[in-house]
Amino acid sequence: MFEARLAQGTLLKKVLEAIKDLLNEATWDCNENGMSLQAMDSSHVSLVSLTLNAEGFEPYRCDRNCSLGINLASMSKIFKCASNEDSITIKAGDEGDTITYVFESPNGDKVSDYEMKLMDIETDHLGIPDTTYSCVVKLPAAEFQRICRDLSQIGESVTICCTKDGVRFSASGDLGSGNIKLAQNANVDKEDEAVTIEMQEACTLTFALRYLNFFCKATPLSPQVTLSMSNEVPLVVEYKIGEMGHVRYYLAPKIEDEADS
Amino acid sequence: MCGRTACTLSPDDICKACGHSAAVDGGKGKRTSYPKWQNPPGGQKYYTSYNVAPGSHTPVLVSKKHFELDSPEEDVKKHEGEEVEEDDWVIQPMSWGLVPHWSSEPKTSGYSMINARHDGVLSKTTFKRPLEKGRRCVVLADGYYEWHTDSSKNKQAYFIYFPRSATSDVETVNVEQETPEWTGKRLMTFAGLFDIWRPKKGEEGAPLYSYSIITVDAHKELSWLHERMPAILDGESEIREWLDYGTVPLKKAMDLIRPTNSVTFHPVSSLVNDVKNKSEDCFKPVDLEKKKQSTKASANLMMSWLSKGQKRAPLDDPSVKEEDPSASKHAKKI
Repeated sequence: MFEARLAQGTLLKKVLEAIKDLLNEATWDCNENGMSLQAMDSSHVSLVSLTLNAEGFEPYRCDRNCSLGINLASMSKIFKCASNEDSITIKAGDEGDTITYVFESPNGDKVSDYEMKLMDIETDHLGIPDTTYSCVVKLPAAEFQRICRDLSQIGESVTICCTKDGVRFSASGDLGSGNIKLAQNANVDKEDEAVTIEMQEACTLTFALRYLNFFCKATPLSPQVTLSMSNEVPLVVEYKIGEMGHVRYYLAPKIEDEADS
Repeated sequence: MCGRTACTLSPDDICKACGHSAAVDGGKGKRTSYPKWQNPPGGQKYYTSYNVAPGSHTPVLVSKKHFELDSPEEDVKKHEGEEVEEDDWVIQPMSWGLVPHWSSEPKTSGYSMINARHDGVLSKTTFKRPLEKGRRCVVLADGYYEWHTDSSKNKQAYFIYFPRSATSDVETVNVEQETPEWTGKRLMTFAGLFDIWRPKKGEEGAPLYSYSIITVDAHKELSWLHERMPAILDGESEIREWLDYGTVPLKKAMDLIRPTNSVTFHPVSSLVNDVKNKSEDCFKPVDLEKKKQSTKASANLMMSWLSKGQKRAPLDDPSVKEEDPSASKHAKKI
């Protein structure tokens, strides 16, 4: 028997919005520590790793470890039926092939439940290697979203160049080119607006903006986003989900030039 | 659905491209005849564009008879002034997106009816009424754009047009050359229907001519690209039948509305996605293979990186923890 209730249901709605465009379906792994999900997009260029700790739920009950194969588009459709104030409960039996979502209004006057079929999904249980990153940039999530959106107007990919002075995002395309430079600014008053850079070694990497724009769907989850980079290693884009977990996106850099030559 | 086209020829060239055979001397001889261009009432204009969206005025071929009925005085004038035999067809730019004649205000109802589904044209009053009045038209364009969505929801735009080499009877007719024969691109000819909205009596304004392109299920050769396609009229005789509402009854004309496979296509840049981009780059072919190669290289990098990680044990199956090496090898290969 699995049961997890989140009083602040809107958080789960946002989590779904953050992954449903990138992944068609995924397996949620549930154990006594919480719920997690790890899956690659269909082109195998990016990977999503999501963790929701048991402590964030009230109550959280997981008698037996289970893997729930879920069509995320369908799950998102059902979650759209929940109001932002509603609490959301996820329930699954040990043997059943369905999952149930219960939405409850704050005063308990309205209770809706939706049942959905589970899927059999083949999952490659790939591990993420421990990596030391040469640059770790923290910036306001909305700022990062804006940069990705703006540069998408210019080109299909963005080059992120990180030095000790700051981080530069550049794109070029048929109509011209654009550069956005952010300087380090540890604004103590407003932590959420700070841009901080921890750097061991400067690095320059190019990524497809299409995927970054998908990642930016997680912006409502967190005021800040963390970009971790090393040369020739996938970029990590991390959004914290309050105190209860995080969603991390991994994206392989573009290696167009090598492919062409 | 068909919601974006390219229309890049000047009015003169469009008329030339629509040259067709016409009988002379009571059917004894034939000559190439060209439709006449006429600007729409109300000062609306046609502007050439590589990226035409609904709401624009684009050239539409119709039977001349529509205008004889509408404005008899003008017709008389024509006959007095000109000696040359008039062509049966007229090209007039009309607004893309049907505004029915009964709508109260054109601005509020426009844009929505850019397409008319084949299965609905004879049952929906909005489309049926104009068709019953014979308001059949041929929408002219260089070609149209369609977006293909792949399994990862990736959208790729394609430009679809008549192959240049294919010789249609429109192009081959070439008898007395008054105007040099058209050797440019072959115009795409969509079957459409139009309606005329007129301002209420006593109100200011010009009549608004607007059209809808009829759509059908995609031809099986093209269905991978999109499930629907515009109804395309292939060649002069089909165009003639569709336009000649006086002699070809609606029922018979509707037989012309079917999926066709006389077109060719190529992928184009995502520039076309934004209707503000009007440049020629919108319909230039792009190399998808290059893009694919690049994605593949990135995917390889990702997989080789992940293969360095500790393999996670599936939660529900503790036995897999001591994984046999063959399975991990498999994971690397993906």
